[in-house]
Amino acid sequence: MPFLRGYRFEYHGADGPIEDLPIPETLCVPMPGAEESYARIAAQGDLVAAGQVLSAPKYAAAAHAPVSGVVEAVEFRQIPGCGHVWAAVLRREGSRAVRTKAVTGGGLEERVLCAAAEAGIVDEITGRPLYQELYRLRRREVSLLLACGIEDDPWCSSARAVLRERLGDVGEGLRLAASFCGAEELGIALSTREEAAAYPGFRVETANAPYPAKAFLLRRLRKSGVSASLIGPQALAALCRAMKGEAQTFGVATVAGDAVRTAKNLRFPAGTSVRELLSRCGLSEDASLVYVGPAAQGSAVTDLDAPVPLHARCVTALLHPQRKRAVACIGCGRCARVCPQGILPWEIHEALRKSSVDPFLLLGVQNCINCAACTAVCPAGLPLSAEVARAAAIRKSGDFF
Amino acid sequence: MKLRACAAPFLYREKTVFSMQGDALFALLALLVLPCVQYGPRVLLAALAACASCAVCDIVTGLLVKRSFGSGDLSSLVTGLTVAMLLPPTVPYWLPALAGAFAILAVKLPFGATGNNLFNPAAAGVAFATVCRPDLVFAYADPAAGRLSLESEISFTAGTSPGSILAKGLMPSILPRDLLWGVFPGAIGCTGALVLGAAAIFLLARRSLRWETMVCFLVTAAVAAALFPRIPTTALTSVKYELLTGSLLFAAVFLCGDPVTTPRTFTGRCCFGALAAALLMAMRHVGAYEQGACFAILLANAFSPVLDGAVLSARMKGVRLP
Repeated sequence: MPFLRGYRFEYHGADGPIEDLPIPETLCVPMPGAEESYARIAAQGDLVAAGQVLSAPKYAAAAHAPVSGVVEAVEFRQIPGCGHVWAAVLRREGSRAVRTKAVTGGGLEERVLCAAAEAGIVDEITGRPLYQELYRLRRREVSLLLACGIEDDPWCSSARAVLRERLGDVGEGLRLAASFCGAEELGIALSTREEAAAYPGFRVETANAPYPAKAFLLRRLRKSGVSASLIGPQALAALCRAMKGEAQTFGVATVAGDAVRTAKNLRFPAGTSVRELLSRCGLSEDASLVYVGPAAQGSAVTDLDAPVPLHARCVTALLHPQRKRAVACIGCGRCARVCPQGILPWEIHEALRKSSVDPFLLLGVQNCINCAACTAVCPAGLPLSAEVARAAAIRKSGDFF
Repeated sequence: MKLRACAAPFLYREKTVFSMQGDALFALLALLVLPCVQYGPRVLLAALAACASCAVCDIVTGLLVKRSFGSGDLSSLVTGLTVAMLLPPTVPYWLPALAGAFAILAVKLPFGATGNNLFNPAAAGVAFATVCRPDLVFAYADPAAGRLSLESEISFTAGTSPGSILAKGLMPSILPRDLLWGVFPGAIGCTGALVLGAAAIFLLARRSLRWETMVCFLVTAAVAAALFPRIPTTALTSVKYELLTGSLLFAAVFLCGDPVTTPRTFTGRCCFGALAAALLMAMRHVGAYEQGACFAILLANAFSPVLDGAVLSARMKGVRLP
């Protein structure tokens, strides 16, 4: 659809280097997808070495111990961005580490897949395990694979920082991922053209567009006949190291927000609590909203002891979040203008208000990419992205008669 | 530290319904300045009467029916000011109050308050006043005669509005400068073309107004005025008088700019503007009243859901319409 405008925001990213967070005494390592007892390898009282497997779930990424220590408890708790999952509480002790050995055997494709699955890498863009993402891209036959350095969040700058400082690893990871997916071309996606000078030798695609910039970029590339896809730079760097046998146990997140004294990009071990990250940057006592993850999809935290998942990308603390009082739709049509997928969220909103919903009138809802731009621009404060997701569920479920 | 639990997204809304209504209110208040200089503070009292009536009706009905303090937004004040702008400065104070009460009680609240009304409440209020007392609604004062006294029922030097001259097939003679600054007999907020243009630019810059309805409305009206002039003159003169006199410009900015009663799709809004302008120009040719903008807008409002439905069904058939 023409006349798309997108949602514009003020960007306050931190452009500092990536700092290492001192490893906390206790870590609460989330083990997503390990609902079955046999998937949880770590048990209470176990001594684990750094890099040792804690959980081996069937459909999610494996969790590894970032440091050597004692498993004090295995508990079921809420983790922002992961829902209710099992987590291993690890007390730091000793300095044992498992011997890493490079992935061997088979062809390159097989080794890449093995490395991605065994290292428990999660793609920070989608929040899904990297090996599943690689399968998906291979099935879609992408021709251009891009390392995503686009920052389309007001406070986040971790992707840019990782690209800047770990370019060697990211480039190697990108090459490995592309060899698995069968993508002929590699590249880097950036927010502005000015940054491109720092990456000579790479094909650079710029998404100089308002939020959701990633979707607008993919849309533009698709129109020019290129089937492109984005992968997070952290996952790519982890893939490069995973080939040497190292598990993904550290992540990089931007800690920012107007309730934080100095915004920083921090490298933190798995299981670090929100409090550790925020106190490193100086959290104001007046903060009234803390959320983990990007502003559009993140989840608010009320308990600062909750651990930050490795794919979080940013932790933001705000002083005065905007209050949202929902009023009736005034029909301004902003939601339809910002939607990169051509959905009419106001129409879905009207359709869902009726007593009987006709699923055939819910047009295009299955194309929703959950960017939440419609909710962000709605002047009436309506939860439009949630309604589109509900409509997609109705359409998919089949029990509508 | 008390942390709030709320759902994503945590992005700031650039516009809220409240701020959009605030922008409209500011633009409407700016329109009051010129009439205030020309006719004295009487226009302020007329605007106050309409606003107070709208606000009181909104609040009292809210307390009685929904046990809430009105609809909680500025929409009733916007309606009140819009009603006052479409009435002449000589109007007795009870008429804007009555029109405002009708707008809120009969057109807005029964349909479910802000966001749900099918018809523009202000246009309906003024249409009601026009039908009830056309003699008062079209009784314009001559701005050259100076300030008006503040009593409700007044005697004044009547001016002949360009609308009535055009309706008789005669040519009004107003200096271009007076035409732009609104120094000719007319309704309170409808004469100053320059101020109306500034208000439109303000609202567009604040992103509180969509351009397509307004542009389609004005272009259609101009084309109709050029092709079918009411007076034997050049096309350009006809366009000048048809567009700059009467309530056409005001309707283009404030009545067509209302997002609630206009269609929600781009194509629908364009068609709405063209339809409203065509109806308005037809009413000027054959209508009984000299100003028919409110009636044209009300008729076009009824077509808003139809236009939206047509665009949506075209989209369902695979036609790529915005």
